[in-house]
Amino acid sequence: MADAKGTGAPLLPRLLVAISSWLVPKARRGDWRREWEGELAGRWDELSVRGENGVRVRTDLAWRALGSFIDATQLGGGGWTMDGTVLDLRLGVRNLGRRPTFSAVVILTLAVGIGSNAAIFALARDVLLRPFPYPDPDRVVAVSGYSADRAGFFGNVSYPNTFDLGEGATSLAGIAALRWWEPALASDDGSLVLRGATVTANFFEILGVEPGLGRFFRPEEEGSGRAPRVVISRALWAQQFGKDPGIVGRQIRLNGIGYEVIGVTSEGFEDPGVLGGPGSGPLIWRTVDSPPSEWPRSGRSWRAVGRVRAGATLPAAQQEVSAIMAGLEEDFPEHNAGRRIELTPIREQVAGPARFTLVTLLGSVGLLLMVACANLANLFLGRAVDRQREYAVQRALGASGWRLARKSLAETAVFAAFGGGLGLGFALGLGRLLVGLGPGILPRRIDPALDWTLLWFSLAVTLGTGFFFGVLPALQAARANPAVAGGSDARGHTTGRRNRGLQRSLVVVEVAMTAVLVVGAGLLLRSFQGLGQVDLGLDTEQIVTLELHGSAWWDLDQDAAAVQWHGVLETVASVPGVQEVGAMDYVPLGGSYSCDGVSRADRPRPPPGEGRCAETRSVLPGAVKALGIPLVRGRLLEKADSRESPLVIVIDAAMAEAFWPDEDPIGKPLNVHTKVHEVVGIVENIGHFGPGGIRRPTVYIPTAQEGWSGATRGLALVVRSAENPSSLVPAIRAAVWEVNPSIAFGEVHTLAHLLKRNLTGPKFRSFLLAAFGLTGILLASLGIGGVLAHSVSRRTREMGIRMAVGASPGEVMGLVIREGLTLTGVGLILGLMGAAALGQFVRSLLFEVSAVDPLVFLSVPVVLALAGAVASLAPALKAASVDVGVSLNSD
Amino acid sequence: MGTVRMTQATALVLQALSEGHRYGFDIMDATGLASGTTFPILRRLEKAGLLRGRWEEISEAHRERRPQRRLYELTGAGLEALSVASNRLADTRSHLEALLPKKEA
Repeated sequence: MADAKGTGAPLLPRLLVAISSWLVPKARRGDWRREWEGELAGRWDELSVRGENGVRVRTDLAWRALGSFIDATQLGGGGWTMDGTVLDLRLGVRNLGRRPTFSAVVILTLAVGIGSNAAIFALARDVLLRPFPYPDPDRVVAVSGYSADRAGFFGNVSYPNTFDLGEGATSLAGIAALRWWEPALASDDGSLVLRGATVTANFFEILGVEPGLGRFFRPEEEGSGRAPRVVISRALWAQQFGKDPGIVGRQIRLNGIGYEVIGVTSEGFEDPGVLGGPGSGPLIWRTVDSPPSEWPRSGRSWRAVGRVRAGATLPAAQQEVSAIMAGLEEDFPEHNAGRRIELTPIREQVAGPARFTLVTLLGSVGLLLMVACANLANLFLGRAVDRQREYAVQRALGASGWRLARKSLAETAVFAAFGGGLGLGFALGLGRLLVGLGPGILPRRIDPALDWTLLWFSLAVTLGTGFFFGVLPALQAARANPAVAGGSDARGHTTGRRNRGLQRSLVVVEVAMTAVLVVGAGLLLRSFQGLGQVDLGLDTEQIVTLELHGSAWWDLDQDAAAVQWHGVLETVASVPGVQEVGAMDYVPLGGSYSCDGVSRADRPRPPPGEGRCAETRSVLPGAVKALGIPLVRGRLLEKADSRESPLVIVIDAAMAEAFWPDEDPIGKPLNVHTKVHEVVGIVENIGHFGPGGIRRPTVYIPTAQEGWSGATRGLALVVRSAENPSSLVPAIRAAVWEVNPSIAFGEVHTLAHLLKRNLTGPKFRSFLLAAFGLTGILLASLGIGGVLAHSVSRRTREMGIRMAVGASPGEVMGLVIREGLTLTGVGLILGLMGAAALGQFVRSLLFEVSAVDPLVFLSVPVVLALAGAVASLAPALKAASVDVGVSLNSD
Repeated sequence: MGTVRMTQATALVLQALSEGHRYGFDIMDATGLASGTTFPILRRLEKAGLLRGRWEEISEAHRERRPQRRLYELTGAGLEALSVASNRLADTRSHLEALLPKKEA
């Protein structure tokens, strides 16, 4: 081992010895280090010669080198004994009570810093890292559909495709399909709309979970003509049925139909979250009540979850599924052209979209903690300077530098312990608050409870923080000069000057980090504000949408269905307060979509998969008008556009621009699915997916001409009212039931509510960051104020002299405020540069705001400078009120 | 020169030195003590005059192309302290044996 020979021991042990050597008195340091290095090198060479230089030997050497720290501390004169440490800690606790304000500021600062970090950490861990509670959770995958161009990746699939994939793929144990179902549960105080899901019977089996009570679905319980059965969640069982142990076998009424409860999920059950949307997932499940063949292959309102068979790998399963999908594309080009399927491990699928937000939040609270640390280091440093004489006396009496440093460290440790403890409480409170506030963005069930990881994390942060803000003052204590013990204090002494420099640097760093935080918050707030101002091209204020389930009309033929639907529209229109009424399959902001291939019929049809995709809305007359979408040219759809009349279509301006950039589209033919429709009208564009969502060309087809299969997807009534639209809901329901009492209602929302839900994520992010930014400003102001106050108190004599030679109080005040603003200014310049660099990183969270938005970059300095000036005011006033006589006589 | 509290660890270090173990890591291996215990004991013993430290011959270190090690050896006072300690240990043991119930043959 020629290379090992003579090159010395590995780096880590040598580094440990080098660090420890700082604790050894200078006179002995050289020899001490030589001895340790000799030992390490000797041992390393001995073993290397024998070829033993693996991890075990390296670990052993590092372990031995760790002992050099104890050796060094003992030589340093202090010694490291348990008794001594306990004594130091006891002194630290006693000091807490001696300066209550100082202690309170320190402990609260710490608690906020540590607590916010622990809370965000717990959130991030629960969302990003915690495995789902299923056997072999990594084999459970989301089966997501998308179009080849990935435009609008939502992951929806159609039931027939999913069924074929599940049947065909041998590397999968199966695929379960599911979609939202929102039944109304009849209860004593009216009816309650529940979040539920319609699933294939294998849903729970795919997850591999066991019921808490009763049983889950059996394969033969799927499909039409079966007795209606449901499985309910533990939460629903507790809330609505008082944990009645006899619930299994009981009948409950949902949408007016009796369902038998066959099972209750177990305590720890967690929904896989593939349905998307916020919160804890469905509360109730029923099986799909018609076979896949009865569902449209292009009706992508389903999500799917599968399990990779033991022994198969995810890439193999993906390959197989892609191959089957390619076959389905060939067999059904009109529905599946360009459709792809992607398998994603469930944890990735659910956590992925939240990852960036959470990482950004973690970064922000980390920054906040550093601001807090800089602040505390400053406070303690200031105190260490004040105590210079106390330390000097102790040094003169024989205490070693190490001993004083240890005392100082113990004191900060006591603060850190109290701050950490309080911080943990703060973290739990904040965690609850966040979970309560953030159901719109947290994709998984979160329990803001105390556990070991959170404890360890808080402990580590506390220790790290204590070390960070404790080390500088400890070094200060260790360096105390016994010479100043008897004479004048450290004023004007190099130590004092060095300290002031250090304190100022800390404030500059603090301001810089705060500026980064506040710029981040500013950018997100501007984005949020921008989102709120986007013109969706819709009236969101006075519109309510009610989803109707059309299963009651299956047995009706096309004409009878049309008669019933027009009957519903007419009776609802006659409800007092209703201004406009219509119906459509997917309402704006509802999150569902249907992107179908369309092409100009006066040109050769593009090959499958290469046509353009347009949002296709199946509408009944009145819907476009009720939504307040303005007509640009031509006409809207009417009742007269029936199955027998010529096929027509209304397109939006984006569609007109994309397909007929230089022509008038009115009267032009358009291929939609297998038919050719004539364009009769152009309406304005709307933001179907909300302010920040994608926008695609959209077409509106009369439901009657598309075929009433649309009704099986469940059309939604769109009602515009003169007054509060929610108040009309009972009357609208009654009107609908007048036409057909067996109609069931699904989701009922005002568009205003849907818009609000759409903005929850950005709102959560920007307000949380704003809170961090404000806390940062507060801390930085405290820091500036503290340093200036300290500087003023140490410069009383200087102020006195200035005033004695004619400076006015205003000039002295100006002096202090100028100092404060200089610190703020330097910090701001650094901070804004940092923010400009980091801004690129958060660009994906921004909406129509540049990462170097001038408004933010101009207003942040103003806000911080103002905070700096306000913080300087109190010390400045103090400086100006210095009594010349007293100050000149003061020591 | 000073006195050293004769703990069990200190006695072990003295014993190892008397058996010819001469430098820190070697003594650690012989006694099974950690480095954070061994080295402070060596410092105290040297300060108390119970052992003498010196740097190993530079030629030896050069031959093996590594830095010099510090070697320790017992002084007369050290040998004496060791014998006192072992006598005391022997006394303690006989006391203990007298107290413990005799094993039945």
